[in-house]
Amino acid sequence: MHTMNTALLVGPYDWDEALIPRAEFEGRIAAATRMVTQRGHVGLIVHGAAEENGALAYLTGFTPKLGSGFALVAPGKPIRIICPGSSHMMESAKRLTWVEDLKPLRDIGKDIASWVGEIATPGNGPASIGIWGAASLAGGLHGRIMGAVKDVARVEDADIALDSLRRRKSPRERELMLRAARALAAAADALAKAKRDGAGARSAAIAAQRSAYALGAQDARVLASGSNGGAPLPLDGIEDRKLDPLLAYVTVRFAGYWADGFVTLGGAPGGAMARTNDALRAVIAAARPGVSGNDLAAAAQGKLGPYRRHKALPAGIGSSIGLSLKESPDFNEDREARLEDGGVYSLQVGASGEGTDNALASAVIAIENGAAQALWRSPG
Amino acid sequence: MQLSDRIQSVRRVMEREKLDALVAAASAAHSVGRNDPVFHLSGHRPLGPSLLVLRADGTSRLILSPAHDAERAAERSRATELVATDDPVREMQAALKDVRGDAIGTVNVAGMPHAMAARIDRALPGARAVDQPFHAATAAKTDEEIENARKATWIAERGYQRLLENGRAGIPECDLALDLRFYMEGVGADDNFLMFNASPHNHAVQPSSTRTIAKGDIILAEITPSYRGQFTQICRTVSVGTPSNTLSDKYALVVSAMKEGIAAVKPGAPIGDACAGIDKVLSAEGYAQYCKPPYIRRRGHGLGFGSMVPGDVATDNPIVLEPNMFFVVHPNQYIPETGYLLCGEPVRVTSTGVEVISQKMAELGVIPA
Repeated sequence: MHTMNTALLVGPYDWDEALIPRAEFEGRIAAATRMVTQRGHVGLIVHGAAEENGALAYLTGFTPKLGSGFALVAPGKPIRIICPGSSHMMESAKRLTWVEDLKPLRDIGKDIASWVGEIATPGNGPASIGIWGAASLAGGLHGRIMGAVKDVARVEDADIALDSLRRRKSPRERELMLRAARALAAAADALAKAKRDGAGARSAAIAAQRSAYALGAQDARVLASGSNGGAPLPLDGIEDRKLDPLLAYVTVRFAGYWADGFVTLGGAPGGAMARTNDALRAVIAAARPGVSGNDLAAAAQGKLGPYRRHKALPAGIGSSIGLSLKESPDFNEDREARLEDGGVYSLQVGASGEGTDNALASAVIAIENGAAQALWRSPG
Repeated sequence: MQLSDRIQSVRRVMEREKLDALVAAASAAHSVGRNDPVFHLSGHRPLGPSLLVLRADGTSRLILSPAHDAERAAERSRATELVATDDPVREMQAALKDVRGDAIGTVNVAGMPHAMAARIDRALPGARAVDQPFHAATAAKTDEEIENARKATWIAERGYQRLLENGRAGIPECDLALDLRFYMEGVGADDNFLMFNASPHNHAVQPSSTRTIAKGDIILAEITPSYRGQFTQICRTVSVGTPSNTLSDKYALVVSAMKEGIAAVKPGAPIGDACAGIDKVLSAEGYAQYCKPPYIRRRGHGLGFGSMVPGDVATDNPIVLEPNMFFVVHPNQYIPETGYLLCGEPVRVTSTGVEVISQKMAELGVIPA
């Protein structure tokens, strides 16, 4: 699911060493540099933007609030972060990360070319550099980087290799994701209570967000129906429509880690809601290491018929979740991908019937010791 | 001015550039500092990467993603046709199969995620970017956007009032910023570029941190809500506890500089005149060295989502002001005795001069210590 990006992140993003100690980051850096070296790279460019920054957050804890930021990683050298904002704004940027070397982004092409000059061995020809997290990099910025380094470096996309580092969550990561899930639960409860109390979709969404932030969330977003039983969408304008059923998609970020989920409130008993809940139960029951996205989708489909798959959901069943809302593996794109021990996944189902008879449900599950544990699941 | 007038302006650009079609692109990575030409031409703020194809005859096709956002687009979009899809590039190709590549212009393809930008480039061999003439021709806001800007400014002023009522020492910056954000959402804001920070001596306005606001702090707030996709901005400074005489005096100076800058806004004048007006007042008081980088880069800026034109309020911006351009004038000045001070008002260029959109111009605020 898409969420509506916001113009500026305002939640508590400062690095909290009590939540993620520096040693945890140093272990990640060591693993990443080993992989970079094995791939023959002399350095790694890590990109993150305000709207997607999982790779950058994984290595540095840094979340760019104003645009694109970059970490420059080379074995044996201190990490450098280049981030948007004036030199006077580095004061607040430094609070976001354990990395000590932060510089304001001026000309990213020149900055990266200069860094390549620092780490490359003279006389060895173009240096091999990996880039991670480039999918959200704008074409113009990407072109400037490639143009600036074309004579001194070959830049290769390293997403597939390095994303594998994020597939199995550490015990600390699972604990943080549990806290994200608790904030998601509070948001979902607040949404339901606001609706019961007669609030419109907009007011209920704001109540949900406030509840998540009260538990320390960095970010909380809500999409909700714009019509009775409509798909969850951004709430434009001032209208505060009282809807039934109300379908919502809630995302919450805590200490960098996301939890997301669907909530379907009201509507007729039975119908799409009952089918969707049955499907979600079947998916959770089937979830264990080695089970493929196809297997999970089949478990859901067996319970949904004769209802149609809900149009808000892609063809698959969900994806891994963590520092990004959607991480690898994405079962919507790779249905043969399999659940792994140590993985955390967002699994989503939904049904559409006649008229307003629509429902969506989901669960955030952790696979641990061969079994699935639901960190959160849709009420119902 | 109506959206149809803007479309006419774009058609004139297309005629000059010998274009049969124009492709506007939006990444949906919304920002106060980026143009969104899809919103600018259709009124739809995309949820996912989206494209708009405008034909020389003035008909347009909004190709939006994700597919399930069709319901919202149907309410908002003014495009002639609407296609909701999870693959906008494929739909764009289908829409343009009868048009030669060299008769296609593009806007903001460089702002798309790079893989999609590359796909668009491959799909449109010979097409050329026409961002500059596009934005130059569509700088004026429509009547509806001006009304939305008024509503957004009303929201911003309510937000500032909320800050004066609820702000106090002992609250983390980001908690207060979040309270303001939600309050403004509750009265109609659909987004907010809310820069909000505090310190006894600020060097810049910055995003909020977890730092706790303390007695003697000076709060800086760029309150920037959007209403129906139209941003506004008011810039305010608040003293935590009774302000010193120096702070009060210097704030009055910065406000007087802002008023001088606003007075220079009129149709036919370069936007840089507003910046020069501000610089003149501050320089006369001995702050000339703080009227240039690294202390200040601009004295205001355009306000999107659709278009950031007229761009920066800066002496090196040659753009000449036209009626219904909308932007913020903010001195936002570093003063060595007090630190950075913020004041700024959104303004509209009228047929004869300038209209300040905010109801009450900046005064130094005070909240309990």
